[in-house]
Amino acid sequence: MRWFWLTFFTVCPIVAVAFCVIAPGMDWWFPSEAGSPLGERIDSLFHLILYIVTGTFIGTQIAMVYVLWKSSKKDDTRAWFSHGSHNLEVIWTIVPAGILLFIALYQMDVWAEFRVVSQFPKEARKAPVAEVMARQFEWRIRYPEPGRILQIQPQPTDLYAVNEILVPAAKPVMIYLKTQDVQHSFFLPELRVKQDAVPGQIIPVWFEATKPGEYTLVCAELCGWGHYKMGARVVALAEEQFEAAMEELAEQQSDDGFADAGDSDDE
Amino acid sequence: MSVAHPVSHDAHDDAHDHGHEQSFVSKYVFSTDHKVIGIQFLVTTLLMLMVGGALALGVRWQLAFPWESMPLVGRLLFSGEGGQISPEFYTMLFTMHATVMIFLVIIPILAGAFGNFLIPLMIGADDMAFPVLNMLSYWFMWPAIFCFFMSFFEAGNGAAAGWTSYPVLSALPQAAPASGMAQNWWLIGVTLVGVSSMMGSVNYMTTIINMRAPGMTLFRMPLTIWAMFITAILQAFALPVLTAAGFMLVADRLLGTCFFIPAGLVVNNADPTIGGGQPLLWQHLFWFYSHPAVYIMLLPAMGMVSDMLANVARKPIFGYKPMVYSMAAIAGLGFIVWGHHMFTSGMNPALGMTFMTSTMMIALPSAIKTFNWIGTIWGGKIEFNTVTLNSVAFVSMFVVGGLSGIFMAAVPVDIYIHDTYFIVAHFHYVLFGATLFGVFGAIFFWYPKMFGRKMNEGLGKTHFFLTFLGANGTFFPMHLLGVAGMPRRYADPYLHPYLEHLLPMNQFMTYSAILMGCAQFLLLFNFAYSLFYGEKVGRNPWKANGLEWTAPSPPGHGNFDVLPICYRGPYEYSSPLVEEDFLLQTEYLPPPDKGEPVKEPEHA
Amino acid sequence: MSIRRKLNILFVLACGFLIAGCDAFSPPDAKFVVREETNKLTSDVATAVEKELEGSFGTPHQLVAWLKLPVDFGGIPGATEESQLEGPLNKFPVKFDAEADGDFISQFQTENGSFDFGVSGTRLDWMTGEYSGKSMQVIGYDSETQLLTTKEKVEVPPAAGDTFILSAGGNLKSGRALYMEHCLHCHGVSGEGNGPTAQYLNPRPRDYRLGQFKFKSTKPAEKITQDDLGRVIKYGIPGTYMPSFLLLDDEELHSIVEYVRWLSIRGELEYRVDQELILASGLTNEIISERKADGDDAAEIQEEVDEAVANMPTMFHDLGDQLAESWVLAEDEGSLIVPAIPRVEDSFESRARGRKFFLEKCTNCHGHKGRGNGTMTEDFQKNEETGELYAEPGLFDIWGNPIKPRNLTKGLYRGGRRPVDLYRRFYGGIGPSKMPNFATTDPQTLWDTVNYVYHIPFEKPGEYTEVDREYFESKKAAGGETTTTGEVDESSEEKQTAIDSADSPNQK
Repeated sequence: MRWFWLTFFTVCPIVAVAFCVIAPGMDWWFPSEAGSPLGERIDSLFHLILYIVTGTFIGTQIAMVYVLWKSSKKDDTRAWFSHGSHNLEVIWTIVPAGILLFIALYQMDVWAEFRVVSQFPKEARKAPVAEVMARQFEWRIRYPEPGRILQIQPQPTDLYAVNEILVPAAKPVMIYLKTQDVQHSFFLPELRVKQDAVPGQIIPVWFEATKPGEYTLVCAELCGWGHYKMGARVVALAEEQFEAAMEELAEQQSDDGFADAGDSDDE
Repeated sequence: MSVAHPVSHDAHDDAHDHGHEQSFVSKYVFSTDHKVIGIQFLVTTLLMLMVGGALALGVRWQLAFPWESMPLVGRLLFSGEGGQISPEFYTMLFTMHATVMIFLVIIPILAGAFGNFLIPLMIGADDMAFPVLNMLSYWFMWPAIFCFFMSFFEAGNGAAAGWTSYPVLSALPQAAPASGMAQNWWLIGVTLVGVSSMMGSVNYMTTIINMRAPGMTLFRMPLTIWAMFITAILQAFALPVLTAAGFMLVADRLLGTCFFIPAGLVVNNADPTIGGGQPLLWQHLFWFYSHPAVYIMLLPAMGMVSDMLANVARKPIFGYKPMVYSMAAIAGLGFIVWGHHMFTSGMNPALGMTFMTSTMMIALPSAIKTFNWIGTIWGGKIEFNTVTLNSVAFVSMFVVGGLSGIFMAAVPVDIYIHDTYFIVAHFHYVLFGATLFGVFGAIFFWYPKMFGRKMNEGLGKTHFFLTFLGANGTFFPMHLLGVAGMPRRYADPYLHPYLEHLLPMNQFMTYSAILMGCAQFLLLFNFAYSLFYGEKVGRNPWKANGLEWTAPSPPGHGNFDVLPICYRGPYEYSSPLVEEDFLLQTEYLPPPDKGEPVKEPEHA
Repeated sequence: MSIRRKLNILFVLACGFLIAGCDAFSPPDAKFVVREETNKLTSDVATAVEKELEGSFGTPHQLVAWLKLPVDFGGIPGATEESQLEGPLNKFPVKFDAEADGDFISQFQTENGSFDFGVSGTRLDWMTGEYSGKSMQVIGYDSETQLLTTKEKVEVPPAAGDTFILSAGGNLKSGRALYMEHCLHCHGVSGEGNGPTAQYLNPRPRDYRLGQFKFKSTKPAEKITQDDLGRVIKYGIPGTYMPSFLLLDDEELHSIVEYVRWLSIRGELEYRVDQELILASGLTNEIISERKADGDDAAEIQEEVDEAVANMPTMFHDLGDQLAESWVLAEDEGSLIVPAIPRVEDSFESRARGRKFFLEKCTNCHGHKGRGNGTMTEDFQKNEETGELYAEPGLFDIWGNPIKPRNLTKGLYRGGRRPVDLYRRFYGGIGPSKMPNFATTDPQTLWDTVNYVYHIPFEKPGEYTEVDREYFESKKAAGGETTTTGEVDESSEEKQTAIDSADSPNQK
């Protein structure tokens, strides 16, 4: 039985680590490379912690199996009558403390850059691209008319959309995040962005999509039975295409049905 | 603090005295004997474990076979729809799973079952300081269970705003189907559970401070008692905040106040809210309790595992005082880290930085403890029995749970993994992987003391093996799901293309969970079977040092034959002073011939 | 007994329990909801109705594609070629067009190049020719000779050019699967708007079974188009729990739309059959027992019942034809509401004219300032069907749910916020909500009102005081009525005659 359990406690951590090693290859990993500069920094911090943590895990598991192996030997010796070691305690207090403090302080600036409004990129702060209003169970978007600045109060010229946010790619953009009813959370997995929408508050959120493309938006705060249904997309377009898309949106919004006898499908 | 008072048999007001026959009801039902109460808690919580597990299997079923007919439930509640559950039912499943597991299983089994049974025995008292209060603390559980049970019958089939019950979802009845009467029942249930906990914590603190046997100084107490003591302090300071928050939420719901409800919200086309409140306030108050609560759900298991490991390794615990200080540090730091549940909540970003630092630091005492456990086994004389296996599993899985916590403590990474399955993996590793395995070990270890018989080893090992595989198979992949960006609390994550490929993994996890669930029947069977057919044992089947092992198995009324006197710490295994490899705390060693006083080793 | 033995016994018991309890683990069958009216019918007739429904539409898990309905059931269309073979035979040369050929190959060809049509074969429905209306089971296909093999043998081979659909119902099945995943829990298995979640929602989810929908682009009497349904699913209905399903792709959207239409047709067919049987023939339990009590001959009554039962298939076919026609007509160009003139430019003058029209026609329900608090929300209205007053004051839709007129100060337009959408709401009204239509009003006025309504959320206090004063003075001068009638005008011909007085205490 001794060897069975020793093997068991050896094999299990190995399987766990192996599982993690093959995970990226099996697509059980990040949905994509980080699609934003901030996301890249988040990923690098994640990987740094991952290496430290994996090393610690392997170290402790090896230590555990080793001490189990040694102490489960059937012989006539008596257990080592030790109450501990002051020196060891000091070492394994100071070293982990140092590592932890390092991790804590290492990326304070990433956090500040993401969340402290005065640190937001100026160009994003000046011209928010949309107001994103979360509600049970969709995302309602309000854009300013092309050429105008988005106001907190809705304007007669504003454009509206649902579940699709158009943004220019390759530059920082800011949205105003609101909610009409309960808490929701604005989560862009590929861009590594998340911010809860709090009832009664307007929260500015900035992000940058490095490349044009379609990015998933999902809700990440329980908001009722439809919490899982709140799938939407952020469409990042190159500058000219973005402007063209906004013009088209403006045109569709002002469709008076007279031009063609047939109804157009798209809004 | 190191002076122990002689225990007087008349120090507490009993409903009976010696020589007076007790009725069945006062002996076994409304008993004031801490041992009976402890066993009552144990049996009740094991039952609730099955209820919570069943709810979890419902969750896992939906994630593995989305929108297919759910066994039992489908036929009972959704036959018109072909057995397919509704989305709001799913929100109830995970809410009640967490609620039952946290409030009706883990907290009561650690503090109520083991705390109650072990504290007087380990410190040499004949009962708790307030036996009637103790009895009440158990019987307050049943109204709480009743309330949660009643919520299942209300609209929405049970409270469904998450165990975290964030307003505005939980505050406005129109915000969710179950935010009507079901949520009211839930709030009452949580309050009652809180009352029960509070009664227990008052009792434990008083008993440990006042009723230790002579010679039982604080630094001669077993780590189990230290853990229970610190846990009781945590309960006492943190719980009132939750109760207050709960009252505020009830007031918002029933009295028209708006502590948590801002103005102008239109939900379900009801009238706009009058408002003036702040939803984030609830989160601060709730997590101010609930973060210490997670340490309440961990520390007693840590203490018990320390005792069990020292015993099976036949060695003193490595670093007794650092272990004590670490537990105190965990508890103390535990009060200043609550904001790490709220990094993305919209609170002031400056708080993100402060909470990140304190959260990182709280990993330190846990790391120290882990190294000390490994150090305890180091150089020991260990045998692989059920107790060993469960304790070793505790340590390994605690390592996994603790290390995954570091990712979340780093705020930028938390931006991504908050409210994903990474978090779910983390807390299941610490709650199931650590605490529950510690509990399984503790059940095996102290069962002989409770019932005078040993549980079956073969069944115990089989139960461990299957549970370990099942638990890891269920919870380890959750880390990967979290990294893949799968959010929590989703009834159908595969609606989103970026998550579609995760279905096979979820199915694997469900099969593991079913295995894990079925394996628990082995434990229940072992428990029940051994009551009648288990190997009968004497006072000290494990050759352990604690005071409890000097009492009969099971201890009678008053616990000890003679007043125990404590001469040393509880970890003098393999002491050179005696031939056996254990040395009871109460064993009197006469001074050697040379006339020198017996020198007991200093604690590191 | 050893512990092993005890465990074994326990294990056997557990297995036995599981097997016996398997029933608890097998999925129940979803069933289509039976209308209240059908349940009121006398049992023979009710059974016949249900049987006919099941025959034409099936059950939720065993769908039946009634091919004459204007629903895209999906399937692979093909045609036969000239056959050299003589009967009796079961092999026909067939050809598919490019798209159908691709579908055919991807659905039926296996890895090794052979064709698999499943254990019991795949259904083939003949659309034209000798065997039109009949079904056969295809069991094989030879790609070299392009011969399709069926289970059934026929005497005469089908002529060249006879068309068929293979595996009809594929689209319906995928629609059903998508519907169950996304829509079922609110709209219910039968589209009756009473799924498990429905009771908690305000407003209630749509009940498709009257064949009427609120937000459509067609003329008042016409049905809703596929495009309209697609828009509702795609963009949601803001202000309600109908969310936007923008991320569904076009194919999925189309399947769901077809399934919804199919459910609607099924529901409306049952409704119409019930109306016929109850109102025209009086075949409910209540009426029959009354008649018996009155002394009518039981045998005669039984004859009537038998006749109705025998006639059921014909009734279904006839009513089915009518329904099919109306749905087809909705897709016709002529059914679409197309404004006769482009939108009038937004200006104060245009809005002022719109304001006057609003005062004339809209304030009864929408209130003087457009807040949705007009006097009709406080009066008791009459239920058209029963002739009785509703139990509560206020307005009710055709499904009997209480509804509120829109608060136009919110800028929330449930049917869409484009100018054409608003125009269509005015021109076509919202039938089920009993919002009257203004089809006969001139387009200029309608556009003026559109301009006015758009501006309501941005109105400044006192902006229209002069306009209002002008309007009421001209009304007084013309000697107009200043009382409300309290009735909602349903007919599309009559103009609304009730006018609000500027001094009435109901103004807010």
